[in-house]
Amino acid sequence: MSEDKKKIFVGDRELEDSLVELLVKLSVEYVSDGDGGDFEYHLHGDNAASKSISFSPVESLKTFLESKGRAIVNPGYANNDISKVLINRFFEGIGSLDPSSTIADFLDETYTLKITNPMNVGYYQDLIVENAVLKQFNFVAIRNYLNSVLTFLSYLKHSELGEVPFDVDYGFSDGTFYIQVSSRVQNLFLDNLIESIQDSDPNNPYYSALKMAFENVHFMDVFTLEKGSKLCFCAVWSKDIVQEEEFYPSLLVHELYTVAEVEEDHSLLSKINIVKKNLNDERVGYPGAGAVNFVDEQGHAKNNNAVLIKKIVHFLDNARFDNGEDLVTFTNEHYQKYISSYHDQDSLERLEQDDITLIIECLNDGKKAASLDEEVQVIKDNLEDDDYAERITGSLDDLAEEVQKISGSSEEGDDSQTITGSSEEDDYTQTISGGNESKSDVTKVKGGTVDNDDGGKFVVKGGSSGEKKKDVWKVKGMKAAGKIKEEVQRLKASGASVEEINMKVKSLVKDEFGEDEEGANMFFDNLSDMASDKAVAEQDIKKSSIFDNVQVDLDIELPDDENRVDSRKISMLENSVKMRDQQLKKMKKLMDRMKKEVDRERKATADIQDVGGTGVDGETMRGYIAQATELKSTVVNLEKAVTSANNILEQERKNKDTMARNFEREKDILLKKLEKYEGTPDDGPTESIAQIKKNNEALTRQVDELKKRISTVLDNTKKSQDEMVSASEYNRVKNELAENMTKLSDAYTERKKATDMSKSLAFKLRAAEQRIKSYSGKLEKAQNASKGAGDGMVDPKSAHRVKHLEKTNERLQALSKKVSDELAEKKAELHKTKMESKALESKVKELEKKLEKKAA
Amino acid sequence: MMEEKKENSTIQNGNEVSGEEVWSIIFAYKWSPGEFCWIKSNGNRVVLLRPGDYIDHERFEKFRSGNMNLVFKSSVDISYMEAGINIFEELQLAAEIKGDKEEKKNSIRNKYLKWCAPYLWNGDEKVTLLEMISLFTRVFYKLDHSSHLTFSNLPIPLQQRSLSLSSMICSTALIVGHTDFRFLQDLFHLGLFFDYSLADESYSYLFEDVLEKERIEPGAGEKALDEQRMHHKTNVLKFHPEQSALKAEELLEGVIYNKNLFKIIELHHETLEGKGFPKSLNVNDLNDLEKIIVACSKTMPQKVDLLKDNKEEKLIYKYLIEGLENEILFSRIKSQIVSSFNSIGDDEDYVEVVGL
Ligand SMILES: [Fe+2]
Repeated sequence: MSEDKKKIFVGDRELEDSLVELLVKLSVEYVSDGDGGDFEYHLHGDNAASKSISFSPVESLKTFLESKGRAIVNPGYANNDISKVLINRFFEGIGSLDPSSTIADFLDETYTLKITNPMNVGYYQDLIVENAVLKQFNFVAIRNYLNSVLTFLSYLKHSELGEVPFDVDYGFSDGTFYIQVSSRVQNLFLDNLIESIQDSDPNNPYYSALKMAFENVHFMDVFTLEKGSKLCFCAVWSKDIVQEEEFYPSLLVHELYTVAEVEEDHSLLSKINIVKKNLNDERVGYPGAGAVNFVDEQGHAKNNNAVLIKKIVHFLDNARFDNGEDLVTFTNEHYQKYISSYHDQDSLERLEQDDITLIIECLNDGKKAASLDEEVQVIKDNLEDDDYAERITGSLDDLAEEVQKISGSSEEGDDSQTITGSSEEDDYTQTISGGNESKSDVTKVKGGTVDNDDGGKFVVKGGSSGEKKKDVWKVKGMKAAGKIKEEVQRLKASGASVEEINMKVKSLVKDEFGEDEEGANMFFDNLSDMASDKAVAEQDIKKSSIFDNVQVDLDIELPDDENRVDSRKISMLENSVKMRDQQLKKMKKLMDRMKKEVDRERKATADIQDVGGTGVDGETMRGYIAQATELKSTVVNLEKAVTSANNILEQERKNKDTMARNFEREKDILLKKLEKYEGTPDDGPTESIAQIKKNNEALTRQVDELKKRISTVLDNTKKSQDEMVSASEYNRVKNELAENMTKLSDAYTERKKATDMSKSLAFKLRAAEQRIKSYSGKLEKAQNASKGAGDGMVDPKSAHRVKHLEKTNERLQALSKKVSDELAEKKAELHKTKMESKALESKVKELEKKLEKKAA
Repeated sequence: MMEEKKENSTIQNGNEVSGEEVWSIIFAYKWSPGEFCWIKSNGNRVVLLRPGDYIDHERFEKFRSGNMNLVFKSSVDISYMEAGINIFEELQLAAEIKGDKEEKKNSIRNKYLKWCAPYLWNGDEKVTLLEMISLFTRVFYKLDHSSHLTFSNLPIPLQQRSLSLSSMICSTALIVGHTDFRFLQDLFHLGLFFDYSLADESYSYLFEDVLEKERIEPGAGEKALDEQRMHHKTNVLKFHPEQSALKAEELLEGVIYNKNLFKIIELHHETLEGKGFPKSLNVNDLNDLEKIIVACSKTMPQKVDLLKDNKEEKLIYKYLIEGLENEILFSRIKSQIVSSFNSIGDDEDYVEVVGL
C-alpha cells in the first residue's frame, strides 16, 4: 500500500542520472504518462495547483511553501540512512515521535531531554552541543538550529499554539548527528511555519526562527501527528557533507496544512487540532509579533458573514444574468454597479473588504462558490434542532407574503419592465409594494439584522424579459404550504431532527412540483436558507465559523489593560461565570455525545452491516447481514416474550385481586350467617359451621394455589427478563461473529501484506526497467555516434570522442547487465510472493465459506 | 516543617513515640504515616487514625488544647522520609533562584534518584505505597479549600488509589527528567482527579471491580458491566475520562499552573495499542509524559492496600518494569527509567536519560 504512494509526476521533464539513481534507491516511482491529475506530488515547477517536490535549490523558501512546495531534496545528500527513513515517512504521510525502531538503529547513542520551561533552554542546548563537539560535528550549526527551533516553539507556546514540555531526542553515530524536538500544539497551520521563514528582523525574532533552523541543517523533516496535536522537527547532520558551494539543505513538510487548503477542503479540519483559546497562563512578553492564531483571529480563517455572502453572490449572479453580463469577468465595477439595488443595504455594512473580494471571486470561480456553499451548509448542519420547525413554518409565512406580491406584480407586466429597466431604488420599492404596499412590512418581517434578498431576487427575475417561470415556483410551492406546516408541526412534536424535518419537507415539496424538479429544489433551498439564516442570526452569526463547529470552546477574554486593576475582581467573577457557562455548554455537548452513543449502541446490530465496508466482499457481507437480522429477530422475540409474560403477570394480579375481593365478600356473608346461627344457638346448626369451615378451607386452598401460580409466573417473567438483560444467547452469537470477523480480517491482513510485497516488487521491477531503457537509449546513441565517427575522417578530437564513448559504452553495458540480473532476481521473488499470496487467498475464501455456513 | 524534621529523625518503622513529638508528626503530615492512639485516663487505647487516614488538622488542634495523651506507631521510616522531603524543598527553591537553575534542578534530580533507588529501584530497603503517599502529599498537596473538600469527600478507596497513582506519576516524571517543581505539583494534583466523575453514586465495590478488569485488559470493563447487569453504567465508564477532565478543570482552575495539563486526565484509559478509550490513541500519538500517565494508570491496581505492600521492595521497578514486562510499546519509557537509575552519579552530576 505504502509503495503506491511513493510516486512523483514528472511530466515530460528529463531527469538527471544522479536523480534517477536516487529515486530508484529510495523506491520512488517517477511517472511521466498522463496529465498527472491523480498524483499527490508533482515535480516542482510543473503545476502550481498541486503539491510539489523540488530536486534543486529554491530561490525563496517562503514562496516555495506558499505555492504548495512540500519538499526540497538535494539528490547528492539524501543518501543517509536516517534521511531515507524520513523520506519514506514523507511519502507515506506518517510520522513518529518514537525514534526507537526506525531511527535509533542507525545511531550509536541516543538521549532524551525534557524541557518544561521555555525560558530555560540554554543548559539543555549545551548538553547536546557538548556531544557534538566531542564527536566533531558542526556544533555551531547544531547550536544555531536548536536555538531557532526552540525559539519557534517558545513563540508558539506564547501564542497558545504550543505547549510544554518539549521532548528532545538526540543521538549520534560516527557519521550522523540526529535531533528530534516535539511539542503539543493546537490551531497550528502551515501558515504559522511560513510566518517564521521570513528575512531576519532583530525586532521580530519569530519571523526568521525557522529560516535560521533550515539554514543550519543538512536534512530536516517537519510534520504533525495525532490529528495535528503534536508538532515534530527532525534534523540530520552528516559528517561527509563538506560545506561545498553547491550544497543546499533538504526539507520535508508533511501533515501540515495552510488555512487556504483547509478552506478549500474542509475535511482537512480533522487533521488539525482545533481548540479555542482557553488558557490563561502567566505570560512573558516576547519581542515582536508572535505567531498568529488563525482560529482565534476574527475573520481570517473563518467567515462570519458566510450566509450573507452567499445571499449576495446569489443576488449578483441573477443581476448580471439579467443584464446579459453573466459571461464577462465579474469585476469590482460590476459589484459597485449592482450592489446598490440590493434590498438590505444595512446588512452591507457588515461586509469587510475581504468579504467583497470573496464575493467577486465566487462569481468568477465555481470552485470558490461551491466551497462557500459548503461552509454555509456546515453552519446549517450545526443549528440547534429546537426551533427549526418553528422557523420553517415562519419562513413559509414569509414566503406566502412574497407569493402574494408575485401574483400582484405578475399581473402588472408593465411595472416589472420598468423595474428592470432601472436600478434605482425607488422603482424597486414601487414594484414590491405593487402587490400590497408593504416595503416596511418586509423589513419588519425579516428583522433588521437578517438580510434577505428574496425580494430583490424575484423582482429582478420577474422583470427579466418576461421570464415568469422563475416566479411561478414560489406560487406553486405555496400550495404545499398548508401540508408542510402541518407535517412539520407533527414531526416537531415527535422530536424529529433538523435533517428529518428537511427530508420530509423536501419530499412534500417534490410531490407538489411533480416533474418540475428545478422548481422544487429552488423552493426548498429558499425555504431552508430562510429558516437557517434566521437561526444563525439569532445564534449570533459570529459563533458559526467552520472552526467553531469542530470543537466547543472556552473563551475567556482578558480584561483591558487600563481597567485591569480596578475591575480585576469583577472580571475574575465574570470570567468564572463565563467559564461555568462554557463548562455547562461543554457538558451539554458531552451529554449529547453520550446520547448519540446510546443510540449507536441501540443500533449495534444494524451497524454490523457497516463492518463489511472495509474490504469484505458481497457474499460475506450478506452473511453478516443475515446473522444480524437473525440476532435482531432473537432480540425482538425475547422482547415479545417479556411483554407477554408481563401481560400474564398483570392478568394474574387482577385475578388475584378479584379473588381476594370475592373471598372477603364470601367471608363476610358467611360470618354474617355465622352470627345469625350464633344468635340462635338452639337451632344448633353444627353442620353449617362445619360447612363454613369447609368452605373456608376450600377458599384458602384456592388462594394458596393462586399464590403459587402467581409466583410461577413471576419466576418465568423474571427468567425471560434475565435472558433479555444478559442476552446470553445474543452475546454468544455476537462473540462468535466477532471471532470469525477477527479470523477473516487476520487472513485479509496477511493477504494484503503479501500483495503489498508483490506490488512493491513489481514496482521495483518497473523502476529497473525504466533504468535499462534510459541506459540502452544512451547506449544506442553512443553506438551510433561511434559508428558515425568511424565513417568519416579520423581526427584526434573524434578519436578521443570515440574512445570516450566506448568507455561509456562499456560502463553502460555493465550497468545494464547488473540491472537485468537484478530484474531476474526480482522476478523470481515476485513469483514466489504471488504464490504465497494465492495460498493465502484460498485460505481466506475457505474462512469466508465457513462463516457463510455459520451465518446460514 | 524544618524543625519538626530534626525531632523526628530517630523514628523508625514500627517505633512508638509519645508526647510532644506525636503532635509535631500530626501537624507535619496530611495523610497519616502510621497509627495514632489516644490513651484514656483508665489506660484504654482508642485508635484515632490508621495508616493512610487523612489527618484533619483542625480537629487535632482542639484535641491538643484538651491536653490529650497520644501515642504514634510509625508505619514508615520517618527519618528517611524527611530526607526525601528535603530534596523536594530544594527543588522548590531551585525554581525560584536566578541563574543556572536547570543545572541545579538536574543535580537535585540526581539526588532524588540516589535517595529513592534503595526503596524504589534496587530493593535494598522495603517500601510501602503509604510511604510514597506520605512523602508526596507532604511535598505537593496544596489544594485550595473547595477542591480539598471535594477530594477528601471522595470514597476512601478511590482517594487512596488516586494518591498512590499521583505519587507514582510524579516520581516517574522526575526520574525521567521533568524537574520543574510546579509542573510536578500540577501532575500530582491532576492525578488525584482522574476518576473524579465516578465519585458520585457510581463508585461502588462492583464498579471498582469493573475498573480493575478494565485496567488489566482494556475493553474488559464493559464486558464486566454486562455480566453484572450494570449495562446502564457503560456510558458512565466510557465517558468518565472526559467528564472528569471537565469537572476537574472547573474545580482546579485556581490550583493548576500549567492549564494545558488538564488534558492528561482525558487519556488515563488510553493504551499504546490503540485499545483504550475515549480516543483510542496509539503509541505514535502519545508523547513521553502521556506515556507515563498511561503506564502508571495501567499498573496501579484499582484497589490499593497501602500497607500490604510492606514486604514488597523496589516499587517503581515492580510496577513499571516488571508490571510492563511484556509491553514492548512501553520500551521507550522503560529504557528511560532504567537508564536514569543506571547513570546515577555524584551529587552535582547530570543524569543522562538514554533513549532507544
Ligand atoms: Fe479511570
